Amino acid sequence: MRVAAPAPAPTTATGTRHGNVDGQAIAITVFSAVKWWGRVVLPVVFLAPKVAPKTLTTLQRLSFIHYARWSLVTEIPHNGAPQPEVKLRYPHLYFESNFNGGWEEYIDAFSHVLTRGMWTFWGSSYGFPSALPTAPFKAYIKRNEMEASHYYSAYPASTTTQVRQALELDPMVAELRERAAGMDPDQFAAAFRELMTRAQRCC
Amino acid sequence: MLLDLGAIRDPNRAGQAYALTFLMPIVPGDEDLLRTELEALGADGVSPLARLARTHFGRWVICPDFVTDPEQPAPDPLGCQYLIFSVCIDGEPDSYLAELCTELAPETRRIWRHCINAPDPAEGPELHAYLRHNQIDTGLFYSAYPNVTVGEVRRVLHQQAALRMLAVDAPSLDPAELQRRFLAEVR
Repeated sequence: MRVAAPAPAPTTATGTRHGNVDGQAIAITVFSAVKWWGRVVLPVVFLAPKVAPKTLTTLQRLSFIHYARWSLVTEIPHNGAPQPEVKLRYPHLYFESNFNGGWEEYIDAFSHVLTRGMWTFWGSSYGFPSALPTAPFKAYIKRNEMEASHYYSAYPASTTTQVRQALELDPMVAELRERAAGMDPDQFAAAFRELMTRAQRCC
Repeated sequence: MLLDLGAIRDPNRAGQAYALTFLMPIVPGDEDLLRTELEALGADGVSPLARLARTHFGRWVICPDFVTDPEQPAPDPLGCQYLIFSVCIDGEPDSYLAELCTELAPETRRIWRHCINAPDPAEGPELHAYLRHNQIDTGLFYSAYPNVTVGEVRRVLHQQAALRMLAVDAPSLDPAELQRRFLAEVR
């Protein structure tokens, strides 16, 4: 007997469902069916950032993504009966992201900053309406999105920007720590003030 | 940014980070029971994944079926519902999975007993092998900080917070106290 999926839970203030949220972190999980030529094009798209890492620069400008992944699913692993043998008619694109901020803002920024890149990733998916305008694209993602039943972040209170700033701050602090023991208190106070000036945007 | 040879050799990798994704069939009729189990995880405020110190992010998702787009010539049904389990981790996948299948055994037994032909009990090397069999390779894995471990992220965030607090207190501290607190607290 098949059990129908439950009715979607109401969205939270972040614009997504409760299960997709852990503190500041938000999960997106999406499958989309891919046209035949996506089977050829997407592996090339996936390879490009690895051989030419500069192509990821645009993605890095989206400073609210911790981790994201794309996979092209062409077959479903079989485990024996009673699992039905699945012979997929189409490849399916799996996308997941771990980001911070609101769901709407995430899709808006993704669409505006990565307009061409979006087509590169989803142009071969059935029904992809193009990244702009954003309303049809948001509707497309909502139709294909699944809610997490459990979602975890190891640092739920922190945004991607906070993590990056903290990483940028680290060598400056390490440098002062190394010198601090050999300084007299007045020298240290001056060095501390200088650190705080240099590190202003990392705090 | 340098060429990521590790990611070329293994597309699940970005720097030292690793993407694991698994897709497993759910026993027909067990979908609601599994959903209840998953939603109860972390009911005490702590996710079981917090016990695996190498986990940056993780999720369990129940996929009822592939959505059929109106443009799609024909549906592509999965035939049963599937459990997606995915994690972003530090380092090598096999040692992580070994930890998952032992440290989280109380939870893995309750979760994977609802998956078709998962080992019974769902733990240890048998579950490890079952997960590997159902792994989906990543095409492209992106990380904003691919060479930074969970421990490092937490350390620098803690350091940043400590420095911020010290900066607030600094105007009222004499230089010797400022130096003492910096050395004691900002690390």
